[in-house]
Amino acid sequence: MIRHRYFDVQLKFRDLDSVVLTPVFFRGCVQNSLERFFGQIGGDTTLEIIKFSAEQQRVVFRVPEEFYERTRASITLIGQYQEVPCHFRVLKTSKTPLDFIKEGENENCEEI
Amino acid sequence: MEETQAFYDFCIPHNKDDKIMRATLAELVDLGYKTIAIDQTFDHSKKEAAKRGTEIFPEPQSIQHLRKEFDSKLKILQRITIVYLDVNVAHAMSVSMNLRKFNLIAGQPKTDAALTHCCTSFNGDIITFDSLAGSRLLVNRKAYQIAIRRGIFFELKYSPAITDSNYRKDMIKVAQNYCTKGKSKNIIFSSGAANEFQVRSPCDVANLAFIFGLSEDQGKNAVNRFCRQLFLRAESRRLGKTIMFVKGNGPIVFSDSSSDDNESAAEDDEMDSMETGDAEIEDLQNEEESENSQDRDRKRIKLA
Repeated sequence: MIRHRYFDVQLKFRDLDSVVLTPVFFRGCVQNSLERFFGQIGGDTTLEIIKFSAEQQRVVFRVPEEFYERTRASITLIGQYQEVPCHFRVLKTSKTPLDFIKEGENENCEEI
Repeated sequence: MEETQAFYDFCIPHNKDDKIMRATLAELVDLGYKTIAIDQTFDHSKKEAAKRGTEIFPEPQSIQHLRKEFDSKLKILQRITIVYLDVNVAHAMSVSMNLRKFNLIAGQPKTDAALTHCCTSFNGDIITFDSLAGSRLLVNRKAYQIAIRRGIFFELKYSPAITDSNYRKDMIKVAQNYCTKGKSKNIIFSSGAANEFQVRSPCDVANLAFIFGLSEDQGKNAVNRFCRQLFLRAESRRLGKTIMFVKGNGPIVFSDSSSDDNESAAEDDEMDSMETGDAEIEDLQNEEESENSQDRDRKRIKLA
């Protein structure tokens, strides 16, 4: 059984209106970063997005436990998203599933 | 003693635009930093030879308005980074009055000779490196050990690694050199952030230890405990030798001799229950007591 590590990440952009924020693009950005820093091994990381909210600019995703340090370092060193300065801040990590949805805000989230 | 709180970021370059400075400082507060240092760079290598005894270092930039604005949220220190080529900087530093106004002094050597001087004799607190020329200067083991013994810290800035992949490679190369030459001792992380989007939270920065060859504990200490040590050392360097007077407050009370005897008996009881050798100690004590009583007797006889 593969053990996973869950990340709760907040996304911050200099100009939110000039970026297209979707789960697919976010996943591509993180995997691109992993591949740049750690080569093919980093690029082979299986990243699964659990929850995504463009309005709150927040994501919960998971990676296999063995890729935890690499993923965290890669996210820290991401400086641009679609050529817009950004800051991806890891709010929380856990071995159990995370959920940032507060009561009454379920409709803003996509569950993937 | 000066109070400082975790977490620390000892390199926020000074920006003349107050708006950018305020945004950066607000972001630092939001991320959990409590003590930061605003950095000014002075390039000694570009200065013409001045008369001996003249002041060549600049005064600290005025940041009182920022200190006032972030009074309870952030402790703002001032730091100067001296970029230099040779050891002639030492004399200029010794006669400078402006340097004493800075809380932290960092040396950024541009040559191998300057790097050796920085580790062995530089009258500062931090050794940093230029992200453009950094990978050409690699410290040797002996100089590294001397710097550690002197209490100097080596700085790694992470924001150049965010902006450019070449800087990232240089930084990793320098960090790995510290790991092989000195087991990554006395390393601190700082941002060197030009704007708010180049600052990262302390937990994320501590996790960068993974790619820089530091252990988990070293990574955490690099944003916390080592920075506190660095600050205290810098303060002691700035203030110089001091004299301390210890003054008693209140009456001086001597302990009662009978209570001392009871305490020693209680201690004997405790020692009985411990390992072998206690019996010998008791015998010695008994001998001492008998000798003391004999001495007292002799004194009484003499007085009589």
